[in-house]
Amino acid sequence: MEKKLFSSFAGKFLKKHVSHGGEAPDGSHGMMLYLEGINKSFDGFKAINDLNLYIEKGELRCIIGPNGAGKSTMMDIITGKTRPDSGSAWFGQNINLLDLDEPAIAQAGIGRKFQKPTVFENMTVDENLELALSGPKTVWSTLRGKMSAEDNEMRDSVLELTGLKDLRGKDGRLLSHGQKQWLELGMLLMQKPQLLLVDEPVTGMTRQEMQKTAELLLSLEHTHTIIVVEHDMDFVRSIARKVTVLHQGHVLAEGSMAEVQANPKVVEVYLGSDAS
Amino acid sequence: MVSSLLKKDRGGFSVLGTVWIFVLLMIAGNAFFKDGSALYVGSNTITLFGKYLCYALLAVSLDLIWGYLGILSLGHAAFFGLGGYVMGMYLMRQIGARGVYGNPELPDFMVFLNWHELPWYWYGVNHFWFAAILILLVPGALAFIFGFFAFRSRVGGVYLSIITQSLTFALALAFFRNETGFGGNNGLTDFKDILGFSLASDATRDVLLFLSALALTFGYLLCRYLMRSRLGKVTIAIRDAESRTRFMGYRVEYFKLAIFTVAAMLAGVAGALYVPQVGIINPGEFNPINSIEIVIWVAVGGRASLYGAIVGAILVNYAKTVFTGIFPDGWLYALGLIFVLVTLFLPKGIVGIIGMIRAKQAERKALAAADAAREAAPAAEPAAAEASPKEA
Amino acid sequence: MFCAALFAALCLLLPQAAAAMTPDEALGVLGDRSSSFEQKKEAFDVIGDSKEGWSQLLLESAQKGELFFDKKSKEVYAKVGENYFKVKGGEAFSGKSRDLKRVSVNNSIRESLHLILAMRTLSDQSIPEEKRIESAHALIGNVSQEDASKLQLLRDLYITTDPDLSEMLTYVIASADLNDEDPKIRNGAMHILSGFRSPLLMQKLGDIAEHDSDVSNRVYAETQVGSLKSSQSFYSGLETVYFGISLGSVLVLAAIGLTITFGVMGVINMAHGELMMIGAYTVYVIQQCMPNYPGIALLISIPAAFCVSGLTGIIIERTVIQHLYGRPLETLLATFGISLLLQQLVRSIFTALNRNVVIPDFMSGAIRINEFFSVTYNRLYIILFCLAVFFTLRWILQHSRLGLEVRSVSQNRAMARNMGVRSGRVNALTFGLGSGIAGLAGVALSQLTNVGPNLGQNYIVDSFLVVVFGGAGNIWGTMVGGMVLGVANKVLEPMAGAMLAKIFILVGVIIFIQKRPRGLFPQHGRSVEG
Repeated sequence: MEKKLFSSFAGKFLKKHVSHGGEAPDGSHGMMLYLEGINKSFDGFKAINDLNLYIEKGELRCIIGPNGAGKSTMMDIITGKTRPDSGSAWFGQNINLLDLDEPAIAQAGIGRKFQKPTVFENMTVDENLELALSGPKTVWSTLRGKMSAEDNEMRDSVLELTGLKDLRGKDGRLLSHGQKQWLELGMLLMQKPQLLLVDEPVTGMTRQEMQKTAELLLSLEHTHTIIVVEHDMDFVRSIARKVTVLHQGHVLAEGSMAEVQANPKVVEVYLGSDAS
Repeated sequence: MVSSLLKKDRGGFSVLGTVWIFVLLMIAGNAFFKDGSALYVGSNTITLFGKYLCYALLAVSLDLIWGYLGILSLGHAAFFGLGGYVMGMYLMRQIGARGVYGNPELPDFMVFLNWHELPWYWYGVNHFWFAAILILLVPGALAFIFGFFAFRSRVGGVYLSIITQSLTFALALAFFRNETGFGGNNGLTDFKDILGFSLASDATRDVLLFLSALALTFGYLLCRYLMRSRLGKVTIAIRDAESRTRFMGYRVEYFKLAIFTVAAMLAGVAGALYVPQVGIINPGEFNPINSIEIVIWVAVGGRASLYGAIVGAILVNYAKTVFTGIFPDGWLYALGLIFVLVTLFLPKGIVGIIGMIRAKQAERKALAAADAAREAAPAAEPAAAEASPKEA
Repeated sequence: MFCAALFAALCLLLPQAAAAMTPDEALGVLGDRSSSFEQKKEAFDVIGDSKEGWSQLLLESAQKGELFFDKKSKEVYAKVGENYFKVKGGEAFSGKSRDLKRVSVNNSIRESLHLILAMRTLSDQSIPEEKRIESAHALIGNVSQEDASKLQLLRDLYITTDPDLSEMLTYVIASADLNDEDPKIRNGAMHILSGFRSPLLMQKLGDIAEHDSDVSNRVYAETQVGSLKSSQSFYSGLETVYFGISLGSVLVLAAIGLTITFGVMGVINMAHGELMMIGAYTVYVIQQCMPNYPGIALLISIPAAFCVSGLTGIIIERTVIQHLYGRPLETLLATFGISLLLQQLVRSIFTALNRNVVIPDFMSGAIRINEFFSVTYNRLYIILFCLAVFFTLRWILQHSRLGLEVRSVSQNRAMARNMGVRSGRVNALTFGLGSGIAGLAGVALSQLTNVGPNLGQNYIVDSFLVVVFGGAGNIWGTMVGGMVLGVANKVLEPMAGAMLAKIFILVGVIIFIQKRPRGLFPQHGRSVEG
């Protein structure tokens, strides 16, 4: 039943891709994200080493890899928090990510859900979602900003999808860890992004919650481009189409879940830590 | 709109209401009663309270950037001082030929320094409307320029606080010099009248007190309006999780700049109303300690409430007046202790205490209600207990 | 035997006409209101050559204009302090003050007195050589050629025994020869003087460069002036750098404690200035306990101030700061309150007035490198002190157990605790260390500035600026930052004045922070994220 809810939500609210504060990414050639030859060192430690990553429009890609493989750094580079030492990063055909900073990249249509849920503790769930709403984000428009009827409808749907409807008036700091994860996902949805970067979405969730998350992400497939970084192999298996394995800042292997799991290099790197 | 803003704001309503009651009573006491009568309010009291209200507005403006935006500015009094100096310049020009040296163009201190003409930055300030614009523009411009560079470079936290302190310190040094052309360490004083009204007369003082209260109210409502809007939420978001806010697409620098500039302008207005009431402005206003005192007013009253700042400013300054009257040496001890005790034990200030009391009361009410509900329920339980074994 | 030779030489220098006058007669001449200036000059000459016990007192008083005579008794008195004492005999004057009249002198007599006194100093072997050299130095450019010839004899006498004094006398004589009529002699004099860098001669040389009749003299003088000028600006620059480094040392001492507490603990201590003040007052107190030994008192105050300030710091940390960890802005406010308390406490105990701290002898004086540049001892010692403190601290941090714990806690508190480092203890000790160093800075400051309750406030803004500029938590950053700011301040001062220089520095740091928000040498660590 929830699957239907997701797809109807997606259909109703997310089809319209509105990008404010810049051009819309041109995905006409099928590629949404290009990372080529990316290198990044921190104080002599090479975090990203000649990384190449190509994400197609509408893809749902999973990135896995042991700790320190560079997954978060890669996300930081895509979202503008960190500048690579060399290489290029393009969003669609036309948007050079290396020219923009975080707010510009967010407004261009890339949304990120963080590893550690960072919701606004001193504001209610409702207010958190309101802030994430896509739209013009200048000082003046924010001052005059009001939720339109459509905005309210969307927010209500998001609340329902994330199961936070009864908690809408509660302050962020009073939510449980899992609820915070969901709130963050909700905020991500409010942004109406075209590329979703989801960093470890199911940490601390129960099996049921994980399943729900998986369904949500799957429902967004094809209409959105999604990159999911995760450790939990069951979860990855439940959503994975194409999997990329990162190791020491470099792509070690790419392919379907089965292919990747059979790859001896991958097995070696994981030291069999994932038995199944 | 005013009423809608205050409707949900019991704290603000009560504080402002109290202030206005005091102000009106004081004005009445001064205007309608003579010295000797029990209901008389002396002109010193009028001026003193007017001073408190200017400080209260200053505190509200700091609450905007500290309580809501999270920037601990240790140099906020600089904007107060700048607004004060502009007003001081206007008042100096108004003295005209009535100064000691009788020069219609040049203020006394310039004659004393053997200057022969007015420096360019004194032009035009003899017109009230121009001075009024400058009162907003000068602090605003400084805040804007400073903020532009500071926020863009993403300097934050303690570093930013230190830099703001250096800024006000630099201004103090600059204004202390005679060459800067603002009266040196004596400052600007000996004012005669404002807009034609003598500063010595009680009527003028009453009006100034009234205007101070008006400015405070307006400033408060403006801040309330800003913080109630989505802009206010973004401001709080920036305070609590700046990075996250940026990732959501908000240009954090511009928001900080806007709030910082508005706060600076409000502080300038406060300074401008302060000067005609106390009759002097000198570079001591730029000393870092003045800025830090504002922080303590807001901390005592309670951050991020706006009306808490008003309460804190009035209370602490009242305590200062009382102390320095009875036991001058003890005031610094008291102030120091206030700093330490408030940060250790009263992080939410007086407003916070009131909030805690209210919360306890609400809790007690809720518990009582729960008890009452439970008493009503047991009658239903035995019936249910009887019912279920049959169903099973 | 040598003295006898000296005396004989001096006798030769006596002007002929004075052969008739005895010292007592000369005294009579001075006491006579009808004496002419000529006669008085002669009298002074005679007294100058005599070895009477009172001759020195008389000559010095005359030079200072404090020689008087009694109109009635014609006795000659010298004014010492507020009283008058008879030059010969020493009895105090007991008559009416309007009977006393000053012994009047003209410029010629004054010059003569100047030379007479200098000659006496130069001839007196019991006076230390440095003083005699100084005396000779003062004569440069101030002797006529006749007088110079008198000095030649002395010079020749000293060649073997006091070569430095002899050299100086050569210069004196040469400086007189600059006025000789013979251009060759003038040229010769200039050549002699080229080994002697003296700003005194620049004007004279400039004159020669413009007005000398001999072309080669003019040219030579011009080159001399040129080289003197460049020498002067070089040493002037050196002096500026020296002052800058000394100011920098003070800034470094003041800031280094702050950078430790901030870098390690993320605590901004607004009471840091007051901890310095306490160190300075410690010097005062110890000096009060042993008023006759200011030097020893100063040396004792070094460890004492460290302990007093350090202990105060530990108390502050345990009572207030430990409850405020993770809240740097609150700590800032609380420590500001503590600074007010400390200031007021000192005011109550020691009054609000500045206290007098004595600068011991070994701190005064200087090493004169040359005419243009002297290295003053007080600054030198402070620079050395600063370096000593810095390297000791660095050693502690790099090589001691405490240092290791401090560094680990600053980089990753949670991990450090897991490894058994008692972070509470480390905090208290670190704060104590930083405060103790503030105390040491106070000791240094007591030698440079007034010691009063506001001492801390005067240096706190600068200390913060150094920390912010150099990079919090990094002591090399503090060292470099402090030195850079100190030198920059001194370089700007002559151009813009002290206050404006300070303003420029402040604005400069503000702009610098835009480019490098973490300072020159940022520290990588969690606690610095603030």
